[in-house]
Amino acid sequence: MSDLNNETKKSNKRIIVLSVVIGLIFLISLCAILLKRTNNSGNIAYIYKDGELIQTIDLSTTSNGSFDITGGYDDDFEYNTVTIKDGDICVSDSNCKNKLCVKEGYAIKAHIPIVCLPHKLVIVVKNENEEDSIDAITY
Amino acid sequence: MRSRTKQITLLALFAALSVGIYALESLIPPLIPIPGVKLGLANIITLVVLKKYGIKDAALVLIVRILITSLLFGQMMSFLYSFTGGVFCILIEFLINKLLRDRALFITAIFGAIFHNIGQLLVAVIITSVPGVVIYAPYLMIAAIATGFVTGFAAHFTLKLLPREL
Repeated sequence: MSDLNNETKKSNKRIIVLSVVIGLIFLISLCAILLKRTNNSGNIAYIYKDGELIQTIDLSTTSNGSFDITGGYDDDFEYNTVTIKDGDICVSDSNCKNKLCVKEGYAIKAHIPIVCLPHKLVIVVKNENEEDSIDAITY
Repeated sequence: MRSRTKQITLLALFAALSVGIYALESLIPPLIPIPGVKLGLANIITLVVLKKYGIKDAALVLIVRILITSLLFGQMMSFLYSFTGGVFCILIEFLINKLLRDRALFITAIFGAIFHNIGQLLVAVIITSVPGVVIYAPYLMIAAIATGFVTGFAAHFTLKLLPREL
């Protein structure tokens, strides 16, 4: 009987220890994710217009603000207002038809390059600290 | 002593069940856009067989399930991922279950899920030879804790409801 009790006590202890291990793994993972989120140094935005690189911006050192990227004349006049805010970049206004570039939102938050097809404008954010990322992983 | 025929039939039944569960799960769209994160419901069967019949039978069911599902649903690569993950998972589950003397099955399940993901990450690192995929690790660990918890409790209640004579 006491043997059985001992066994139960032993496994009780182990349950507690293993639960703590799980809790620790959870906390460490959470910290890793949060730390990675806030670390945005080395993000560089490349702005392409008509296929040419016209501007590179270091997002981690550039303060908040916005500027226009224009092109064309008279009836063809086109502009995209690029806004930099808290280390992220977006197109906040545009006179293109569908305004998809505005709807795409912030480049880093959305994890996608921002594209304005009618104006042939592309904004890509790359992190110079990261290695060239993989195309895809299949499971 | 249980007859061998009965045991084989039972294990085949469990293998078929886990293939079915896997198929059903593949219909669920991924909840989180991170490769490798899924519920792992087929792990319920592994846990049930492991606890009821031991590691040998559980390994048999697992390998049959992985072979069939890779043939049916996967590409060549998915076999490697599933196999490594599965082996990691079942070994640690066996160990933890032994440590806990068949109690607190959800802890066993969580560790199984964690090591399943670790195994898959290792394969990913080796195959792509990009150590950068390790940045997925924290996300995968948290997902594993959540899904392991769920599958652990599912296995617990499945075991409770299974007839004793099975």
